[in-house]
Amino acid sequence: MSSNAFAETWFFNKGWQPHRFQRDAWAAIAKGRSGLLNAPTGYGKTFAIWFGVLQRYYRVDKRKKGVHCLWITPLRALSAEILSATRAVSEDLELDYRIGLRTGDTAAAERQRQKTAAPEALVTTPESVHLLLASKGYADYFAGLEVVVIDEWHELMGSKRGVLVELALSRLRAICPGLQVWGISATIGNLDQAMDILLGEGHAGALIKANLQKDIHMETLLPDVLERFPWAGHLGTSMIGKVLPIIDAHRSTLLFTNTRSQAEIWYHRLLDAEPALAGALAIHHGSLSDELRLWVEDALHRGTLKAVVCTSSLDLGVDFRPVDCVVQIGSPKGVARFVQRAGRSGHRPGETSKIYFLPTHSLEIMEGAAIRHAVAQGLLEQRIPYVRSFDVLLQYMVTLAVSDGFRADALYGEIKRTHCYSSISRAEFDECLLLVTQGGRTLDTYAEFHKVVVEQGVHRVTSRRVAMRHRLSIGAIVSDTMMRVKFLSGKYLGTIEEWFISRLQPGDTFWFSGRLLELVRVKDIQAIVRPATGKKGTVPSWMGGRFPISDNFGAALRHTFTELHRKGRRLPGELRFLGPLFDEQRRVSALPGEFELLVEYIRTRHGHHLFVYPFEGKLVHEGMAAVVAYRLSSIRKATFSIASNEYGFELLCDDAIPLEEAMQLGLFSTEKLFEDIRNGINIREMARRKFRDIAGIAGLVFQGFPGKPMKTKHLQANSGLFFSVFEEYDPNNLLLRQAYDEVYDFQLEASRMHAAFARINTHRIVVQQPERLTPFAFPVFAESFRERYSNEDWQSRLEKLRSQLEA
Amino acid sequence: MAKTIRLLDTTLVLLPEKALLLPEYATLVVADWHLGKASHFRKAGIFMPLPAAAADADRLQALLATYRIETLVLLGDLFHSDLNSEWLAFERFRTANRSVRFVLTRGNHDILPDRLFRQAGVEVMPAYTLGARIRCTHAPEPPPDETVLNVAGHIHPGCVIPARGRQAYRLPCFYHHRQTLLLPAFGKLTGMHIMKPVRGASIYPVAGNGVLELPC
Repeated sequence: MSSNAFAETWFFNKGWQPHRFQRDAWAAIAKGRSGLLNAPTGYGKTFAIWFGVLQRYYRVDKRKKGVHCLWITPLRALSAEILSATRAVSEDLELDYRIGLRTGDTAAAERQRQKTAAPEALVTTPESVHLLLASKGYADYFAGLEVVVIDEWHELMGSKRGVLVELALSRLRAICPGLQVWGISATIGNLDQAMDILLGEGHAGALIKANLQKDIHMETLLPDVLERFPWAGHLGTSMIGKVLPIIDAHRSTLLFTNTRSQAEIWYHRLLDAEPALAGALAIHHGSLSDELRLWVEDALHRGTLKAVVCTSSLDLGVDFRPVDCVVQIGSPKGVARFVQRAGRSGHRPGETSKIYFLPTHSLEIMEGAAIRHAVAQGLLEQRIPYVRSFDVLLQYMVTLAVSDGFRADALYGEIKRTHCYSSISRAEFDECLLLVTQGGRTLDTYAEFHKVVVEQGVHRVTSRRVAMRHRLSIGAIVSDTMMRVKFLSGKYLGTIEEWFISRLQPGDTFWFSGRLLELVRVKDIQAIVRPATGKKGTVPSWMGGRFPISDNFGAALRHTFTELHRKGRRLPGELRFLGPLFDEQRRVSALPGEFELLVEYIRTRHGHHLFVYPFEGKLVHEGMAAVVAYRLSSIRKATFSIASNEYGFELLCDDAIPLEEAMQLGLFSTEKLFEDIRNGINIREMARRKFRDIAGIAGLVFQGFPGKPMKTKHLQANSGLFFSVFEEYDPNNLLLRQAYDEVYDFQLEASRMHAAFARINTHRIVVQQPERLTPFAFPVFAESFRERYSNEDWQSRLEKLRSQLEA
Repeated sequence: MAKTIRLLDTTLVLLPEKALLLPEYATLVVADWHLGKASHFRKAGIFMPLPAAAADADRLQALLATYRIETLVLLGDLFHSDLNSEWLAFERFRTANRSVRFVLTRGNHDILPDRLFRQAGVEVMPAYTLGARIRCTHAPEPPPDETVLNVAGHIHPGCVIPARGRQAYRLPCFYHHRQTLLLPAFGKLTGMHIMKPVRGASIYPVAGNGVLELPC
């Protein structure tokens, strides 16, 4: 093994011993290889790569100035952490290797400096790399590039930001043959695929695993009395009394909630319950201003906070050493997510991570047993990469056209080698070209479309306005129209979705960033507020960020039923505690086994309910419910209300449901499944919603120049309008097709639905007809989400509506 | 099926084509056409299909052929933005209907110079009054007393109709409250502003080829 002089010196000076995986990484990098490093946070994975980079750089005596290494991270907060860690190394060893930070926050002057006197390494984000690709002369700028590191690749991989990384790599490899690419990833179910996507087909990369087992101590917080614990709900604030002693007993606690609104609620309820926490309790979520979030992160580092209520905004990256305890409020949803959150506490080698699970309703308690089983078995989820994202490709084409232009053949060759676009045909590629050059296939010869022009075979943007607008909209994160929340004094607090503010009148109060605020007025896209006194206010909800339980976690949940039925064995505490509830379920209906499907048919004054419990997660249930409703209504025309939760779904109908007949005809059969999905689900509406992101990424919907909203006012239209117009006049549009594909792949998780139906087909179906709602049924019934399903055509619906209105 | 209502002794026919017919005045009122929008977007490099624009003109032509109409009132936002080739199509439409008087009550989007409108044979004015009772403007201007009805556009009114089974429809609508009647946007390439239900307001949603009336 070749030794790394920089690392040896530095570790010696620190009095540390390198881990085996660090030595392995240095050796592989020294040989000029690419690879993937699989290591948890807090074990020095940054140094495992960094000293390799340094050694590569100094192997040559004299170099031209220029960027030598790009370090891409998903988070700005993480970028700052990497910057300070790597800069410290250069200072300690007195190296002339400089590191710069390039994110959306980087000031224009600093960016200019980075351009004229480039640092040796740039720590940056996928979006900022694309911005660099959109500036003239980028090929020269990157001419000396040798290494690209993609940090937290598992996080980027399952999103369109991952596609941005793939595209950037394809371009950089073309400029710099022999480019070394290193990914850093936590453990996921498809680690090999994660490496293949980064390094490309037929790579000879090194997979280096840290193989450090981190101990997790996990405990479920149980209510005092099961009977008084709600059967349904999602706040869990009745358990506050259990949380306060935990906060008290630890140095610093992170409380993770699943939604931002839940974080807001928990924050002020905790303060109500324990006013002494004021000043030592903070809130952190993705809609709060950077200023506030940075303050919270900094205070966490310094150990001045007792507790922080947060969302997935603190899932990633940076380590907060003082944090020694984590509380997960509500369902953990996924195994990997739970492990990651647990790992936010006690992250130093040898320390144990400590996490408490706080259920929000009775049945959720069993998730404690399920997650323990899943963690023990290492049932980590896969990250599914996006493929054929035409929206990102269109954006990328314009990005290259804005800077130095591109030639179609060369570009096609490059993108074909990425995982995302390996299956697109030349015809599809040409259609994308047509969209950016002519605005699509059009019979008209009006030369009014103006975006990308072709000059001697090179595609370029010549209009400065188009270029400027494009640079402002690079990226793959598109949000709803967000209102900026500000005090009268101008102090910026964060953002809230427009639809929430639009329901408020001036004078109304709401909770945001942990404070009670009064809406003073709405001006353009700003909501002006002032602090309010009192206790009452609404809590905003944000549309994004709601995710269902994963496939692996669903399997773990079903597995708990095997434990439940196993006699004469010590049950996990959660299941023992739930004993009376399971007994009640068994008494009024039945308790299914792991390989049984329970179906309950119940009559109430609301109508005829059909409850089905596949334990597959809300998203899959919504799809399954629609298919089952469609199949039932093709036996007899009927209209159903659909409700679902993580455990099962409900169909509600005015008339009797022909259940027996339907079962004989294969209610849960996989035969003609995709046809029934198409017929039974309002896929159009789902596609319409998906199209919002797509339209934003592809540059159809433009948010406006910061501070200059008037100039673009006539260019604003919402994505729904584009969707309708495309549907009517350009039905084969690639972006429209992409919206439908994304609905199948991500929204409906069609393949997971198919797997669920196939699984159920091997199961015994237990049909019960209880007198009233059962412990399993009630939480589903209580779900506020209701989706009307009807197979009657539009005209008869209109008639029905009319008769209803005129009655 | 159109919906006929009477206000201030005047017959108003709410057409499912999203236009208002005033038979006593042989007048048709159309709000917020937003012509030229597709081309305006395309000029800026945003690919919106073009043919959408033609469908609106065909619909209006059919109305002019069906009813006896002497005056066409364009209730503002006729043309979406700067001049582009869709104006030529409008000029052809104008020429094909020489016998009809075209009146435009200028809207906030109508930034084309008066000269162009005049050359095309379109009279431009801030407001247009029929008899003593009906006053047409682009943005709603609530009349001072109860003897006048203000017919206006600008808002692009729409409504959400809750139906049985917690289902909801979003439909464009005519909206009448006190002395104001708002017209739905005529152009296909327009969005909708959902009106909050207010006591005393009448909402007439356009559903397919019919105009309904919501009970209050």
